[in-house]
Amino acid sequence: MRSSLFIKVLVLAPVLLLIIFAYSSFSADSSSSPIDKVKKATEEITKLLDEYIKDPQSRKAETLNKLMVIADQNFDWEEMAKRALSRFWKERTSEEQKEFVILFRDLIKNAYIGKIDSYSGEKVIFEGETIEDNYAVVKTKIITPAKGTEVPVIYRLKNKEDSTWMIYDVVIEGVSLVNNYRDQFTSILQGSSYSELIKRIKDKLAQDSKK
Amino acid sequence: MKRTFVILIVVAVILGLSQKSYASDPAQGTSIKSEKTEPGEEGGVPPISDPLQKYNRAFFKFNDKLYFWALKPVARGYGKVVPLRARLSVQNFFENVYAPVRIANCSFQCEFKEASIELSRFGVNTTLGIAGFFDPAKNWLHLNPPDKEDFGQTLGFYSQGSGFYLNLPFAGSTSLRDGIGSLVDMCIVPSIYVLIHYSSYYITAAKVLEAVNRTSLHLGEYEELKRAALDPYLSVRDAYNQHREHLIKK
Repeated sequence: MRSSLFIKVLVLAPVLLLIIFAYSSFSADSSSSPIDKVKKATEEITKLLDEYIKDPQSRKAETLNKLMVIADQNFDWEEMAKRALSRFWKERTSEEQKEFVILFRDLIKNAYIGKIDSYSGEKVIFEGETIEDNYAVVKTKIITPAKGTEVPVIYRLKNKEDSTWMIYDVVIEGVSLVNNYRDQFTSILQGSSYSELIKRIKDKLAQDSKK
Repeated sequence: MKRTFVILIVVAVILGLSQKSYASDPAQGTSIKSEKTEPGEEGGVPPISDPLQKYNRAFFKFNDKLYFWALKPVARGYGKVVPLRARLSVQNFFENVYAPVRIANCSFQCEFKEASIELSRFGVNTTLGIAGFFDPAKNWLHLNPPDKEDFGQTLGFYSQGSGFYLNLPFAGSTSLRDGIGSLVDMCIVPSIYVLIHYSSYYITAAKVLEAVNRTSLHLGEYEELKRAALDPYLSVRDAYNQHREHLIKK
């Protein structure tokens, strides 16, 4: 009896080890490259939007919530907000910084509510990645088959302390999202105050939620 | 010919006045390291200067209204009547008309391979492609269009800074450099001389058709940009600036 159990263990051990090894290499993001991260997120979003366009009326709220879950897993909101506020970030208290990150995320979320309706089966081509230390760039192209258009989209990622790659900027046809917000924030801050900027963001969010 | 000469002189003088080199700009590196500035530091494309903001904002408002009240409803109706394939053909036609501009500017920037591709495309599409409505150069001969070049980019290639931002009625976003570039480019399009010879109304009609056709293919994009922006004017200005600098670097 005993010896048969021993044999079973002997046979099973390598199999178990293999499974554990495979599992750990899949789950740990440390071994996944930036391009895999963006690929996975793109696949999830495409799947979600393919479901959505079948029944846009009833699925809007649900789709948007799921989209934001994917976004939270892939975007480093704090890094984005920090870069968008640039030199003014350091002047804020940590409470103000926290509030600003939340407002910034809402601003982006708001921008994408309208975008999901313009989805028409776009294809994404991955052209490659460049890694330099803790920073990476993933190059893609979004293709709209019906119109035959190609839009180059670049993702910028940063390797976090827990060694996961997170997106901190999206560059569409050379236009960086973070730079675009930075230019707006800087111009507003130079003309008025931080509280005025926060008020304008809140007003905009309130106004858009009414529509 | 005399008019072209006068415009070129004006260009040379204004460019001389607004000389600002980007060649020594540290933010112009192509390495991704240039984007690795710590949060709190500025990075990427430097902002465009905007001394005429008051006027630009007024024209921006005018263009905004022009879009929502006239261009968009017309383009929508046009899009319903004219099928997508036909509209893409019209787009091909206009792209082909402007081929001489791209050929010239590729050559100015010493991109001779691109210039020859543009030239072959122009020849093939004007003849086999029936005045440029079709694109046999791409579909049959696999001559894919290279990046589009214009005189604003040529000036940028020779380290000419953008000068300052301009938002003009009807034309929209441009800069001192790119506005002058557009004027020079206009002189390179041969069909304009042909049309002027008959009547300037033809040019206006062609321009309107081009704008309506283009808008019908891009409905909703401006709305999205506006929705994402905290201040649409600033967002459009910066997007224009970043996009142009990107095209020049390519």
